[in-house]
Amino acid sequence: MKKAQITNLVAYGVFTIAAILTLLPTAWAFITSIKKPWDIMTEEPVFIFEPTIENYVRAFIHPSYLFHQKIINSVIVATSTTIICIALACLAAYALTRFDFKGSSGIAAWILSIRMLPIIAVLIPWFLIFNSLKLIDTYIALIIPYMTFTLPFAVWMIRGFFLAIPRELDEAALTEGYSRLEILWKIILPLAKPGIIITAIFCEIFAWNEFQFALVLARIECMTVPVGLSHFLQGYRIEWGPLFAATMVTAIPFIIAAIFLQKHIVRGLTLGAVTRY
Amino acid sequence: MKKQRRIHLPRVFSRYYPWLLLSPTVIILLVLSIPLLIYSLYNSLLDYNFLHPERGIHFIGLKNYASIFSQPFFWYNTMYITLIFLLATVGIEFCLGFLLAYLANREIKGVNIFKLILITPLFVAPVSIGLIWKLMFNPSMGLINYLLWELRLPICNWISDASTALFSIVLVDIWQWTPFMFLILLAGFTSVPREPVEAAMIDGASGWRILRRIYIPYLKPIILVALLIRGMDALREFDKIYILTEGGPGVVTETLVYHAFRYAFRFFEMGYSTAISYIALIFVNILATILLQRIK
Repeated sequence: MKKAQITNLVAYGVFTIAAILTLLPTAWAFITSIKKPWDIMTEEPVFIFEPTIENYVRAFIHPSYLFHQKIINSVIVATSTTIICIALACLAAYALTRFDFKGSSGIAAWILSIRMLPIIAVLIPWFLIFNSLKLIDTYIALIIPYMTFTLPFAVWMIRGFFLAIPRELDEAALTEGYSRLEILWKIILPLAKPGIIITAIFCEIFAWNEFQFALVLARIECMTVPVGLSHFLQGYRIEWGPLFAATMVTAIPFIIAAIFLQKHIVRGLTLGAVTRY
Repeated sequence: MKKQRRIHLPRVFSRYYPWLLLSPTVIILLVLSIPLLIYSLYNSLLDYNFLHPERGIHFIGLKNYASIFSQPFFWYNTMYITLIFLLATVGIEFCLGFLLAYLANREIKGVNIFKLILITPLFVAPVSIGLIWKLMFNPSMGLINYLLWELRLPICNWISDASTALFSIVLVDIWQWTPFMFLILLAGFTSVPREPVEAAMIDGASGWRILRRIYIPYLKPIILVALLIRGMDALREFDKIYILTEGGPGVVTETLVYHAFRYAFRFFEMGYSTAISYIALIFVNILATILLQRIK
């Protein structure tokens, strides 16, 4: 009994240290975002200062930042990608889970393998193709490449959620004269709705956070949030205050999502390849 | 029950029905992968500079590959850094994640709050993580050197020093991805049936023995999935390197992917950089095949 108590104590100690190490950098970034410039650019860190919101104002108002435009671009790109992927993935997942046909598991594995491609291997050809089509710096130039990674993910996630719905329901509906698409629309989709929403949030996060494609394919007009953040580094003097103000504003929705997605995060992070947990 | 219109589809049609539903996804993914990779294979055989069209586009066969493989720099720097980064990050993240999951797999209060705190890095954009740590590593304003100084420990220049730059990036990667290993392994731990564990405890088996003989065999498949996914992502790592060091100082943090990126979008040597990206593709495939065979 005593030994178990010691182990519990060790566990608490380890978790406390891990929690501090996890929160410290983010907390420091938040503190920096509410400091005045002269409290940031110091010889050593300053802990007592007068808080301000001027960095938040500056990140959105100052003509060289205009961060809300990047947020609008990111919302458009991420949401379009998500809607297309979810619609197609529902059809594909329905085919993969409700029909026994030759090659079904092979197709599923092939779809997952696309997700594993190194981004750079498709980024260079996309750059050349979009350049010759004069599509660089358009929303399409981001949405199409993003589907390479979000579509396989969505198919696998939704496939897992569809598998959890008993097939007897379909068969009962078939004998009642429902067509296949009616079954998908009226029975499967309403039952799998929570799972589909979770998948959509993950797709949105992936597309929102993506950096490598966005850096090359949408540099000016369609610049997304991550590229916009990286641009704060390009001046001759880094403005840490507005930089972290923008970081905080764009991170908050995802911290809320993290709380909401807690139970499903393992499935999401393993690309839906692990459906048992 | 309202009367349904019944449409009797011809048999041939119903046989292809699943393919009809799959076709949008399969066609899109086919178009987005195969032609692109063939196009890029062809590009990798060219001498093609995007910024100097007057130099012309010449078909040079396998010369790009030959020149990459014959450079000692490629083996001693790029491949070496890629492998060190892969092994260090995945290895340390696995060990730390395993330890945390093992400790969390007991009935202690408040474990859910710790879990919630620990998963936050997984939702912060990799670019933001890079920026947050760029400030942490800053020699004067950064917290790290300040804390080390207060604790009378040696300080260093982290990302701007060639001897510590790679280590710093590995450190940030560990901060970002250890929660991933922790969560996945914890899910594995909780799925292990209680009976054999309790039986072994009654027999007086040591904790270490229970871990090795009961937990590890049960966890093996999920450990392999976690290593596979993390390994793939570590090989693709780009965002943090771009933000923190841009492959520098010099080239000491330039991984295979970053090497290809630099040749493609700094020097615009499209043929040469495509060849490097193809090597990365093959490298990823070999690793995935090895791990996937073990999962089956």
